Amino acid sequence: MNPFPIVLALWRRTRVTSALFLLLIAISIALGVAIIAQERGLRTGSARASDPFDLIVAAPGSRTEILFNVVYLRPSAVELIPAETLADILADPVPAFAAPIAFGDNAEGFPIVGTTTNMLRHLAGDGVIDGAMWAREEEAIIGASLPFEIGQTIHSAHGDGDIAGHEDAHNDDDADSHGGLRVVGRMPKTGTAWDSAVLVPIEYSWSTHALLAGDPGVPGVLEPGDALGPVPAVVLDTEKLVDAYGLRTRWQTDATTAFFPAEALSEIYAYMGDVRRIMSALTTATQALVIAAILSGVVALMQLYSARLALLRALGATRGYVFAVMWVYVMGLIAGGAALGLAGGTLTARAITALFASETGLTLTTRLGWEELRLVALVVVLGAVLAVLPALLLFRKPAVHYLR
Amino acid sequence: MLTVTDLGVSFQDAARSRFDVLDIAHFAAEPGAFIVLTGSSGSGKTTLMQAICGLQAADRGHVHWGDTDLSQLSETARDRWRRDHVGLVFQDFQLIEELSPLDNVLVPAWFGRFRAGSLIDRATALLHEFGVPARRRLSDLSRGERQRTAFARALLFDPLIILADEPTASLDAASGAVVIDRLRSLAHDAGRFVMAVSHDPAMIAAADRVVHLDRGQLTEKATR
Repeated sequence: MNPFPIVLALWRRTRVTSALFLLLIAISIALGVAIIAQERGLRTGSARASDPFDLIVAAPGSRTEILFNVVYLRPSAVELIPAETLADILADPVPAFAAPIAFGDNAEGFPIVGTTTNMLRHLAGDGVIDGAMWAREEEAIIGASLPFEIGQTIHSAHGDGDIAGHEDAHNDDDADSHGGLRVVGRMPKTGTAWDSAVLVPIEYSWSTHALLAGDPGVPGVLEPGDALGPVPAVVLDTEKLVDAYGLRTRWQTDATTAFFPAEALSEIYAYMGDVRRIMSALTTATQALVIAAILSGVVALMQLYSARLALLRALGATRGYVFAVMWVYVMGLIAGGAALGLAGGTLTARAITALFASETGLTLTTRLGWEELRLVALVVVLGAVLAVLPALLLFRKPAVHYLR
Repeated sequence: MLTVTDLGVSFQDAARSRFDVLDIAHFAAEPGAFIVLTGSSGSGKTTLMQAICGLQAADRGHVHWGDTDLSQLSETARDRWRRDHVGLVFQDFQLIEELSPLDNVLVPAWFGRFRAGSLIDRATALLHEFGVPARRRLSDLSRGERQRTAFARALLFDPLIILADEPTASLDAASGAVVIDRLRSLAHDAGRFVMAVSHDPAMIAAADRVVHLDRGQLTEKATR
């Protein structure tokens, strides 16, 4: 039995309608695939981006907000940790290092982050920082994605998120007096939002906002006795997990909050998961409706072509052969639409990811996972079962009825 | 040999009451004769053709082809028997526009186990014999070429029985003459059972037997 030539002829005969059916199935599946793949890509990418930040200590406030400030460099107004508290944190002997983080300015649209040399080395990991480390406050090391060159001078501007509670303290004249920032090095790619940041010594952030009184010492290196300013957050790095838990407990005080980025992320993921579940349910319902609509269309279409299919019976085709023609016809549309939808959904997810990555600086990867394949398999299996309906409905009456 | 005994077929009208379409006490025919079936519209000609090829189930009676009683066969068995033993030719050709003439001839081959090699050769030879290009688009063929393509399809399995429903009705006289000549040749030279429904005087004149249907009942009108 070979139903394919007849099916191909039917597809050619109904090419516009068939193409429309195919497109509807493809779009409905692509939506589902894109939502699932995009959400997973975002989840893994954001989790990876938070890896270098073992423990974050900040002034009491929203953990989500602090996470977005520190890890994803989406600045907003947060309370500051006073200089005295910062000194206590820096004096804590348990962490491998404690790196204050300050933000609130930008250089030609890219966020300026004030931090320390040990944070830079920690972020660089196995990679090598190209160029030199800071020797002066007005020197910058740029993230891997920035379009500046080593040796270039870039100008800072106030804004794109203010150093919390201290925007009034910013002194533009003072900032101008720094005469811009000279790029002295480039970070290796980290896959985090910090790839799109201009990294300066923490002292630069304090100086430009007139938050420092005293000698700050070597830029980017905080030694006991150095003058300190307030900061929005401090990143603590520990060798052992147990130490991290200990520090988390220790710095969970009335004046500070301490948390693992994963804690805040899990709250965000729970919310994202709820949204995704709703979206997935909606797209599944859409897919079911699309298949139902297409099956109705196919039934109507096949009533139009019933005489032709009855001709096959007259020429000696069994009921089984005509059934196979109908089933393959419908299944071809569903399987073709599913394949197109899978490809379209993957491309859409990649496009959204690329857009999101360019907006956030995060490295996000979108790959097909079992969940998307399960979704497509479900649609195909459901289609395979439902595809028998047009075939069953077509020959409720004898073939001769359609030949009269 | 075809033997029709006490054949009754009825249909249901819009008011759900049944009316008789065929009521044939007895009809017999041997291969090798060219039989033409005549009758007014609605007399049951097409239904009789469909009944004797097993497409139309009978309410009562028997259609025997040799030892095979079609009324005793299942629907699937009748379909397979028809594919292997009957060649059907229709007034409006009933070709599939999206297929080439060659593929149209091969359509019955796809119903069973695909026997590509020998059947493609046979289909090509039949089209060549009928003067129809095998690979041309169907829309480019003349009506005569289309009817000859339909003939080639009917002959693919070299069937014992050829049934043609108004095969010359939509052809010009010259093309019609070719079809009539071919049907006669199949009966006389190839010893096939050939029956055609027709009102074409040329075909009636060429027939060995002319049987007439009137309100479902057969009468032998003329015999040569």
